[in-house]
Amino acid sequence: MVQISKSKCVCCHRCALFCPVAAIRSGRDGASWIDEAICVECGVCVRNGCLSGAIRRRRSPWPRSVRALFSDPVTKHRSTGVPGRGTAESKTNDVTNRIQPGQVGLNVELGRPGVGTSFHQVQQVTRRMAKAGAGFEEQNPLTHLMSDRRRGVFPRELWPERVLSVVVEASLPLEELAGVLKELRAVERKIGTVFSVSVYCRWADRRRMLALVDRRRLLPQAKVNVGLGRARRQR
Amino acid sequence: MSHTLHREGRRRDLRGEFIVMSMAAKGINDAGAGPKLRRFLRIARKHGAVSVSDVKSVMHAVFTDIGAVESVLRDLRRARLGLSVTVTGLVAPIHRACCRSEVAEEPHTVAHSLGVWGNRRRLPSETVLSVMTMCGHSLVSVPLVEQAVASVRAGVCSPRAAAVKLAEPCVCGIFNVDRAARLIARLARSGKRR
Ligand code: SF4
Ligand code: SF4
Repeated sequence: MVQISKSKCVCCHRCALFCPVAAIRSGRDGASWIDEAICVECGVCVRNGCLSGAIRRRRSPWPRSVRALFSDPVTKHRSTGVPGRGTAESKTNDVTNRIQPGQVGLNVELGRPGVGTSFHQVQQVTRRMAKAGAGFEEQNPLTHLMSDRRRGVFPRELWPERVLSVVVEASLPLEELAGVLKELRAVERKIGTVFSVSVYCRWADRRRMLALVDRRRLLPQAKVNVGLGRARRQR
Repeated sequence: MSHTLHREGRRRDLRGEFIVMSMAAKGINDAGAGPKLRRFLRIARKHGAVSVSDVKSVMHAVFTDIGAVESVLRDLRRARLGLSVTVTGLVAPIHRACCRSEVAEEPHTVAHSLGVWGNRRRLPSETVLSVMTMCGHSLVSVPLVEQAVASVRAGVCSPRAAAVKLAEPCVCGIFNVDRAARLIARLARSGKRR
């Protein structure tokens, strides 16, 4: 939970400028306060916003604890060991070989950029993806929260929780990509938030993968794992 | 984390922006990776990275010139660190840099962004979005960008000083201050708010 101490607040409203989801309001007395329903616990106001030390942060209990876990990139999740919301996906594929030849990785990042999302909205997407046959990434913290991975369903108590963004990670055979993208097109017409979509594969499969996506949606840049990683035997 | 991939921007603006990242894979090659990651940062600095950062063992370095990226890749190949290295930017120059540095004729894996889907009415203008998305975790708010533009328009600060302030919430340090300064100056001139 992130809260403002009235006695320390000097009513400068600097923190409100920094809040990415407009959760900070000012009361009649001029002091700022945080709308708990909207705050995603990203920690920006604590780290950068307030110069008076008026903003305090306490660890939230379950299920609210997921807010900081997914919204604050400096929190590390137990299951991944990676700070933030997802796994290392394409970045270490040269040593993990998680995505094999003929496979495609699909990442759907809900709430990004700058809008935020609820778990209810996340489930709107994951149910569609599951229906089209996408398998969710085991190592992803979001997958761990699902109550039914096969159907892409989350426990009901999580639905109202809001986060700045979450990454749904899935992998599938290349030939099934078009079907999953079709489901995402159906959900994008109904959902109240935004989501950023990315696809990745082995370099040799790139042309095949790009033939399956709508070229008009492609951004000009790409992320290239150059292949310098080497696996080492560890204890 | 696909946070360097979804940067918005026109092709001509992205020509001068490459993010090189290095990390170890948990349980595979992370034992004793610390000194290697620090070596990565030294190599990045030597070749003129405009910003470098270390967020819990994930190293990022931002470059404005593909020639520098090529030199970094060459040095990384010679150093045989064994850590994974990715480069985000326009794909053709990156591929050429991989070949010229003799890292690989064929890189290993490639990720492409299909952009933003869903309720796009909730997004700010294209230029504000280009500035915001330089922080891949969306920690740079729209009001902060608008205030930076207003300050430059009012002559209170330079575009560069405004961009440096905007970079503060970006904990990964991948916010490209040079490009942000250009975009802020463009927004200030155009008189557009959002
Ligand atoms: S923690 Fe983040 S979302 Fe919550 S009030 Fe602070 S800046 Fe806004
Ligand atoms: S920045 Fe700090 S002192 Fe200023 S309004 Fe916010 S909480 Fe109060």
